[in-house]
Amino acid sequence: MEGPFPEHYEPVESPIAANPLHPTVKQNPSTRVLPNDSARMGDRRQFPYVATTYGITELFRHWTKHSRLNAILQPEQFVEVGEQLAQRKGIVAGDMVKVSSHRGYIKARAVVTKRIRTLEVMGEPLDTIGVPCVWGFEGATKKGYLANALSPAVGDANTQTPEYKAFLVNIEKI
Amino acid sequence: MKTANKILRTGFIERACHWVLAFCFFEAACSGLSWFFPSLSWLSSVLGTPQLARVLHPFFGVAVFLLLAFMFIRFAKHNLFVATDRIWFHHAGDVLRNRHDKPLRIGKYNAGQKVLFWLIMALICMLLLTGIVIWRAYFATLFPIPVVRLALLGHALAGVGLILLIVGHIHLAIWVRGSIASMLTGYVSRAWARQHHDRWYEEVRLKQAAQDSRKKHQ
Amino acid sequence: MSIQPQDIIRRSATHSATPAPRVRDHQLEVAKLIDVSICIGCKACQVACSEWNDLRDEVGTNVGVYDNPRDLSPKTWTLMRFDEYENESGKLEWLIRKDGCMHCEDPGCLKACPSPGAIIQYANGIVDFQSEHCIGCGYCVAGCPFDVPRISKEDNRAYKCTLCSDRVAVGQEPACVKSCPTGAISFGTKEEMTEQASKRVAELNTRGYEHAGIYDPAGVGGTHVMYVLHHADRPQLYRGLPKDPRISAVVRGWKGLMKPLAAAAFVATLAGSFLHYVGVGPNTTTEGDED
Repeated sequence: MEGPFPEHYEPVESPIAANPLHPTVKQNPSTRVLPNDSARMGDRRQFPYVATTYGITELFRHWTKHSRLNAILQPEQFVEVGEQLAQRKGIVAGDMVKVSSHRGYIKARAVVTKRIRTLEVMGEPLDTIGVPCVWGFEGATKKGYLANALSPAVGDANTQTPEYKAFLVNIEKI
Repeated sequence: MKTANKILRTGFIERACHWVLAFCFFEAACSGLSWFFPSLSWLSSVLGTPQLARVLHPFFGVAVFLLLAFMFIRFAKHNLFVATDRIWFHHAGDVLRNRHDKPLRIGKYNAGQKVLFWLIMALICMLLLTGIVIWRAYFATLFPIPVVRLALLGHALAGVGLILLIVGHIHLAIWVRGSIASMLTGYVSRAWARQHHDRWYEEVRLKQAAQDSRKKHQ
Repeated sequence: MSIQPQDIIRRSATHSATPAPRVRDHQLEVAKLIDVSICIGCKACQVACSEWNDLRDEVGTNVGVYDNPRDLSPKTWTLMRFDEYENESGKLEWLIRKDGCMHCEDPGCLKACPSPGAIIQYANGIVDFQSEHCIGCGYCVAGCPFDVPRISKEDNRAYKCTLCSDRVAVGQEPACVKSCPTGAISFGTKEEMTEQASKRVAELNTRGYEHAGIYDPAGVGGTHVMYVLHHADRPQLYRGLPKDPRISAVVRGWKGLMKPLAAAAFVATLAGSFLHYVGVGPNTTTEGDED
């Protein structure tokens, strides 16, 4: 149980060195992290970019990819990369890229976008990579990876809601 | 047919080529006209159905090009302009008015025929190049749309031009009696040769005389 | 339009002396208005179009953009085009335009088409392909100022948005209009849609879009698919929407002036040949006229 007051803690995989509110307590002290899983947490130096997962307009979770019409609208797995990060990594729209976390990797097409900007957090540039989590190895779409190959097994102390929307990854062109 | 007193003017290969060419041109021209003049859209039935006509027209067109290329190789040297062509140009009016009083020193082909030859060759090249650019469904998508538009206009201009030239060519073939027979059999009479291609007739006669004298002395 | 259309005001490759049936032309012109400023790019219109017209395109690949399929095709008659634009004040705008046939008042496709009746225009302004007469020559592709018609590899015929002429004929709005969740697509008479668009443009003007306007290009006589654009002064921002589209001069010359000139040349040549023969007489050779 955790509470009663809300407090900002960094996710278990955090891109910054310390919690700006209280440097000595970075993460939520009552987070449930299973013993085997804490060994699978990545380090910000190896995985410097923040990943977040989301659904998209054309596909929802994993069942809509079986619909041919939906598949036509978004046929192939992609990740969204901000322009500045893409330029630094030599990634051009349509390139195949490998996004990896300490737990696994996915390969997908890169959609290079102005909509994701490099943020400046505590004086350092911070990039985010968008990972739509609607593909898999079956269905009418092109075969894809499960986004949860990347995400950590962390449960919110009260609800067990997993921390699938804030974790660390690295990206490279393949 | 007795050819004893006749002169061979056009060999078998050239004659066969010419008539196959004429047929292919007829097919390509009729279908082309059916699209240029919609009131003549029924002309596309020379190639079957309208869709089929669209499919086959380019193939007949390419056949025309290849056959004309062969004709070019065979006939180009006879169609180069020489000094005596000047005389024909000078008297072109007389020629058309059927006046044969003056000798015009005409070689195997007269200056007017030479002009037709080069115009046909130029126009078929233009038709081939523009035709490839607009050829659906194989090649047109390789070219940007503004280029396709220019090619459509160019193809229509060259096509109409070539058809009109051939109309003239057919008219003259009918008008000069003996021409069509000659393209069918290959032979012309001595009188025909003397009247229409006097210098060529002389050259042929001299060559024949030389051959005869060589035979005599063997 | 009934079971047989008797309201055809323009017909491809048809001489004006013999027009198509057109007595039932007491109709208001329709228009589809696409308000780009309200569109969210959800692609419901793409799905509705495919569902109504029984079209299923191929599942393609992602080339690094949100546009899917990546281009109009014989089985994709409308397509969302996404463009990210950073405006002068540095604000990012995601410009999303519904691409498809503009149903021009003076259709370039119809002008270029050589097959009688393959392309027709109804009294309400809709431009329809009558595919049974299509020969697949692609002249319509050259005639269109917007690069819309697409030729099928399966049956070699051209296809494009029909403005749901079959639905409109029975008093229904086009499928895309019905499905749009934000109301970005509206349908009605051209007059109604122009008025609606003007109101929306006025509203956009008050919200900082001083160059908002209606896209209804006069160069093609106006269109029966209009846009409300935030940046009507620069339509090319919306994936190359042409600023002042008109039927190419090359096409106009080819289908216009060249026809009577060529016809005259043919008559002159044929008549001249015939009269030459009749006037001068055949060019004969007297046999025995030899040495």
